[in-house]
Amino acid sequence: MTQVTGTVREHAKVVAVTGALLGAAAAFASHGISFNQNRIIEGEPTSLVNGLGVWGWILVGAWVVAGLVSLSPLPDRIRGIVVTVLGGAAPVLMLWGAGIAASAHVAAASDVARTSLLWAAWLSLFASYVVIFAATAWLEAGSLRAVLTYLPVAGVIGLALTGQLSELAVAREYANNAESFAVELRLHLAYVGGAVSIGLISGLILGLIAVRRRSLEPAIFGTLNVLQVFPTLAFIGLMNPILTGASERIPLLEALGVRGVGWAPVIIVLSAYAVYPIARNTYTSLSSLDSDVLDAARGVGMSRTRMLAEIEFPLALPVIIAGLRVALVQTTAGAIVAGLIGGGGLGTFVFLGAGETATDLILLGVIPIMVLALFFDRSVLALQRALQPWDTTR
Amino acid sequence: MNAKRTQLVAHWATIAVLAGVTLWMTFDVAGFSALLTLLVPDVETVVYPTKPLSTLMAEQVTLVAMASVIALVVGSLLGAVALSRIGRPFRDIIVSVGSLSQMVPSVAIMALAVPVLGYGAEPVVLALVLYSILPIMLNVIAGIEGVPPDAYDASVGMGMSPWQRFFSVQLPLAMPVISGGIKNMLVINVSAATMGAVVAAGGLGMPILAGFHDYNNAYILQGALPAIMLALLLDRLLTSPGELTVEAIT
Repeated sequence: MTQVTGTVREHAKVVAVTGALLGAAAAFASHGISFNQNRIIEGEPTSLVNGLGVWGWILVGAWVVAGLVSLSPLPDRIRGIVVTVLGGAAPVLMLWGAGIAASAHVAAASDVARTSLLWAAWLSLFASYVVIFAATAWLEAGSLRAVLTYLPVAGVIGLALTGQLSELAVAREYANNAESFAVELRLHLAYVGGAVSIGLISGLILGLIAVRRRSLEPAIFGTLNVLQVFPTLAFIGLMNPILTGASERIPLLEALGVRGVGWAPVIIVLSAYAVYPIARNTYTSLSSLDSDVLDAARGVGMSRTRMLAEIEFPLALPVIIAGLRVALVQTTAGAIVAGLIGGGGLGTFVFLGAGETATDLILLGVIPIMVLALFFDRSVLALQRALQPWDTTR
Repeated sequence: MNAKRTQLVAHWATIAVLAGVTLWMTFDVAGFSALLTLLVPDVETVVYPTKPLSTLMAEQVTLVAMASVIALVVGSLLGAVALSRIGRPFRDIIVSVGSLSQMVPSVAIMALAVPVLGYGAEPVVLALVLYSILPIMLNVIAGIEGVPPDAYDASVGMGMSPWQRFFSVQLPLAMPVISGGIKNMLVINVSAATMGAVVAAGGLGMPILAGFHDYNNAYILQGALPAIMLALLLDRLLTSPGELTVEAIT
């Protein structure tokens, strides 16, 4: 649906105001922050406005001004800049205030006291996303918009690096698990990198075979579709007896450390899921190329291999990369399952936390997974756009 | 049209076999145990002792059905709202949030919901619903937006009310896209419901986790094989015979 820019900007007004209202409401909602005696016993939840003192009111002020400026008749560019900056300032203000309140709580209570952010605080972050999403519609695409969009990310990283957040419960969990966190993060990235690489290579090969040999296409995609449907836990479970048996019979596999649990089933299962979007996009993009272009290439006497390398593959690349993006995001989230079967990775913290209902330990696993997924998504999207300068959709 | 008939026969034969195997595994305890003993000869207890497989399967199907029905109703309504005049401004943000939601592992939502909802089915249903609303919504939006303008114009010309237009023209024409979304949702939900065992929600994940815990491959297969069969059965049931549209995912 293409729409005239006028309505998009009019729409942005409604969305930005809604986001600002949501943010302001979240600041008053009952479950903003809680000051606990220790990591398990929950304290009384309170609203951000109550818990953060003056910072809470500054936060509300930021939302109110953002809402008013959205409605004002100022020029689009000014409105876009002001509202984007305010929407981005909100999470920085909230976390900064929470960090200060957490320090005060520890000083007043005891060293084992913990300060946790609750759902209204996360809702506040979501409201920022909504407001920034809407307000950037008033800005022209370009470096200014990109900088303003990612300003809050830089702000939060800055707060974390300067130790302003170190008394928040999630940061305390990190401090207690810093060494194992580094190990599990690296392992998680290794799973994602390994599985997506395997998926990319096999996906490209299978997609190409399906294009060249049309008769094999149903068999290839039928098989991939079946694997795609396997429930993750059942798939991992199914690999256990198979790999245990294979490892007992083949000394080489045993030497490589292939067992029924651990890294081998995780890599196999994640790769099997990652192949599908890449193979599918390779096949569809290569089989829907403009026949005139291909005829022209044949006309100048190109060989099949050269045609693939110089014409077909470059033209299909943006769609293939879109498949890669899906595979990357899926695998980053999916690799959580490794923590369940002794494979390590960030899922370790999630299942450890689930066992002792320590919400902040669960978040220590979940937040990095989401940040990584978002980072991969945006980076590959940027790459996709760089390859398709003619496509200006957001 | 002989090829088409062969396709149709093959399609329903596959469904019959999958349904048969799923039912056999679920209800024929002796037979399925014999198969498991054959596959995993060196374990002492073959049958998962806590609950019979029929109970586990019932729990699994209940989890998936409850979450899917709720998500279908809420997702369709929200999709309709996003397409209405009031909701139109929110269409883009909804689609954007829809893609964001894929970044949160569903098992993480279950784990985070435990302190609030306790262990059991509730956190799993919540996670499944949250996880399925967005894909349903996105498919409703994509399906309705993909309705040919001519068909819509004709319905306006016939003097239909907006509701009539939606239910008797737009929705039926959008159904192929929406049912694709429903299929994906069900497959994802079978997978996520299996994961629900982590927060003690019952279902087919229980014997799998118990098997990992006790180094008992017979338990693992007892949960894994029926879960895989159930997922394949749902997938086949919702795929039209000979459907071979391989479309790019973006």
